[in-house]
Amino acid sequence: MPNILRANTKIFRSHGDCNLKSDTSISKTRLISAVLSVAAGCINGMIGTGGGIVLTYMFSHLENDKEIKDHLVCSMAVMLPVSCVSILTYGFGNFDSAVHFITTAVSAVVGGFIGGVIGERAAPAVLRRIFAAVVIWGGISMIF
Amino acid sequence: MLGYALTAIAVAILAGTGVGGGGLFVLYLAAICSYPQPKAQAVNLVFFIFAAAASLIYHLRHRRISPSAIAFCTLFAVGGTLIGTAIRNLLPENVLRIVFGIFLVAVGTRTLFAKEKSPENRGT
Repeated sequence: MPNILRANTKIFRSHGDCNLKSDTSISKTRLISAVLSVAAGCINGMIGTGGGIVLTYMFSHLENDKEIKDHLVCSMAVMLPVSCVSILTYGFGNFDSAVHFITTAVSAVVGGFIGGVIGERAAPAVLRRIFAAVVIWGGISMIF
Repeated sequence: MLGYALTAIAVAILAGTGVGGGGLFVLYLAAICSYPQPKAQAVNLVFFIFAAAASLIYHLRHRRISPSAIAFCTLFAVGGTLIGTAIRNLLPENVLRIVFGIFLVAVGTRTLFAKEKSPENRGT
């Protein structure tokens, strides 16, 4: 068995398990994580977003001895290289100008860093509710 | 361009805090900026790459992560991306918008009704 897969036996363990988890259980866990990773990549490749939520859900169930922020960071770390591969499939002509590209990149870096720093505190529930309402409204407007 | 930059910063902050944001930026680009759906998705991917990289610089020093699990999942997720890309290339733009809309409604509904501390109450 490759070392990278053997290393996962310590990572993909269920709540309450010790390191003596059976090979069958470990294989099942790896299979689930592989299938959900493919699903996350598939969603991201198809609609350009959404893979992260699948991976956060997966990590939170397979490694539930950690905090939610750890799962968010893990899913972000997976989606970063995945998005780099995905963007290659779109080509490079999607920005109107160099200014457009630079504005997008700088805004993302500034916002991403600020979000990372203040994200250590729990996101207010009211903010999530507003986000959800806007997203539902947007989704309905896209469908119809 | 100022409005675009401010919106991008606000969405990146939301994404970094875990509220959600990726879907919101595609929505902004497609609905407000009138970008074609594939173009909005491509711009959002570039946006996410920069936002996630900046956020990870901070997070990787403060959070417990599993490098081997990340490598394992990345391998399969990249394969999934290629499958998703193939499906995307087969679908007309209006169908892609509808699929994206259904995804947004599902994520929004889940976020709206999720329990306060459950892992599922985070956005995209």
